[in-house]
Amino acid sequence: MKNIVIGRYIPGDSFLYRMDPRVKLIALFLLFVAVFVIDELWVMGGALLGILILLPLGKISLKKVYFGLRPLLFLLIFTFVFQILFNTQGRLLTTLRLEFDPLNTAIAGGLFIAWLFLKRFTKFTFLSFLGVFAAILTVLSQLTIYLPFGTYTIAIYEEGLLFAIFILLRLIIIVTLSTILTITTKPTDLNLGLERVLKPLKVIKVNTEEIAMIIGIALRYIPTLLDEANKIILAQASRGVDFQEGKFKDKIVQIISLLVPMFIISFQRSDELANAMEARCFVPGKPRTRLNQLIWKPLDSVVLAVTFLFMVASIGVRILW
Amino acid sequence: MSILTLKDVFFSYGKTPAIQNLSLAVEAGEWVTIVGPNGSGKSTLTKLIIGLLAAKSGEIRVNDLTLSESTVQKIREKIGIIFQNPDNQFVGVTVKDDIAFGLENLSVPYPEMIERIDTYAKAVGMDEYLEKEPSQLSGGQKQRVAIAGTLAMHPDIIIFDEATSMLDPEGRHAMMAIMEDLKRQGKTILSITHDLREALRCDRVVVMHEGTILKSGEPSVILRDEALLKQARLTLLEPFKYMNELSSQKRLTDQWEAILWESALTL
Ligand SMILES: Nc1ncnc2c1ncn2[C@@H]1O[C@H](COP(=O)(O)OP(=O)(O)OP(=O)(O)O)[C@@H](O)[C@H]1O
Ligand SMILES: [Mg+2]
Repeated sequence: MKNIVIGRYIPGDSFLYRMDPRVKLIALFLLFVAVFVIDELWVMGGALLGILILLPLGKISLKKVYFGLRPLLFLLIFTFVFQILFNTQGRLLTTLRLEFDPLNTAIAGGLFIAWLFLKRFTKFTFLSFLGVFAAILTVLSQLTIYLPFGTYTIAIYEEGLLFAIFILLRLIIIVTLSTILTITTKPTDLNLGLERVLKPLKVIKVNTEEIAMIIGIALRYIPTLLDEANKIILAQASRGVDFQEGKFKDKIVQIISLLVPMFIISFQRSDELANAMEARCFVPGKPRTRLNQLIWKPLDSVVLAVTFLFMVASIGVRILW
Repeated sequence: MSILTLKDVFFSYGKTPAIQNLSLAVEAGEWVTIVGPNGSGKSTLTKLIIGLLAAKSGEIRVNDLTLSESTVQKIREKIGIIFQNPDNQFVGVTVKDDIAFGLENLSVPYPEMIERIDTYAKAVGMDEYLEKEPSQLSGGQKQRVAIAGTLAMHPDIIIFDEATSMLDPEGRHAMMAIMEDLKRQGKTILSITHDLREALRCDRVVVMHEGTILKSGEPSVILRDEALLKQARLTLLEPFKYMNELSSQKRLTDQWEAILWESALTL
């Protein structure tokens, strides 16, 4: 747990790193709008292509983006498959008839178990999953020797396929863009950018500076509290509390034995922190100068203009096409 | 005129008084060590001095400012505090951010802020760690960052509230060296501890017990006063034990005294 990096910031240097965090946030927002508005496959493909060109220019390897996508892979596949299976609008494109007989079902099951076993040793869990999935489908649809005891027909419709592809691309683009943002922006800069971008909310009496201060302190203390939680888990484990196993009732006892000390420690900590902050002349709401200066560069204007135009264009295409 | 004056200060959290009839005057450039057992009111005293707590009666003055709601901010600007727990006073996400925190609060302009961060990070030997996060630092390093953050605000008085008690011996020694350095620069230091070794090099030791001052005087006198220290539940340092023993046998020569004092300084 020690190596958890909040926000996944990876030090580096490229124009993506040098961009003003305010611009990154606004650009991200504009692109999100665009991605949701687009309903033409070629525009969406163009957007994806744009990102693929952006990555090497910004010196971000595909691998890092993949790490950002990885936790969501199964969600992506699930929504994709779900759309294909259950959306029956539009023209029927193709069908795939699966016939389950004892032999091919056993083989399919065996393949799946083999994958479960192999996934501990291979790095390419996702790719191997796709391979095994395809193999299972092939076996079930082609290899029917005995009398099948059941059949299932997968029908793929035009709308379903299109919709599935759109959702997939949308999610991939959104996650990729967010990953680029968190990889290239320090959490503190992100926080500062957010504070500035949300400044107009002051009109409706939202104190953006205080919110930013709270987020900043949370960012600062999450690693420390994680450390603390680890220590408590170890201490409780040495007293015989088992955090790995146990019935539901035991689990609750375990959680309480972690939460209670965490709560007390955090309370005391926040009290001392507040004292330390006040001792260093912090007065809530008083204007302060800032160490982190945001400097608007020509590049920022260009990026903002380009993303804005892209958004307007996507809206235009949607309305006029 | 004294830089810090407390007159008949009284404070209680509930019914039992935590500070009572406490009067103390600290001169500019003086290094005063306050010693006392747990719960004797040392931390309460610091909180009173910078107005984190308000005294029930009595008067606290810094230079010519009397502590009150209208002067508390001015007074805080003149006093820096290093607290006991290195983790709970680290506000910034990085060393640099943390040193900057107080400067931001004082609205120091950006170029000067950069300059001061540089100067004081160097002064405590943390200039190579500016981009590091607290989880990558030792307790002693975090305390040094806290000192840099405080010094950068240019306070007249610096209070160390058991700032060494959570550090390893190395961290403690580094901290003592910094205090000596500050003394040489003419800063007023108020250091609070229940480790008598930290009282050897100061100008004056104040012994606190149950919220009041039992006695104050030069380290060479106070640190040898067994009865006094016992009353404050503190134990005599070894070399002073020998010193007292020798003196009770009328065998304490100047030479012995010097040797024992030296050996105390190496503890
Ligand atoms: N927030 C509080 N609420 C109630 N009582 C308190 C509070 N803080 C301290 N006290 C009490 O006030 C007295 C003085 O406490 P204080 O923390 O000033 O002692 P101290 O000399 O700093 O002790 P230590 O050496 O443990 O730091 C103690 O009896 C303590 O129990
Ligand atoms: Mg204390």
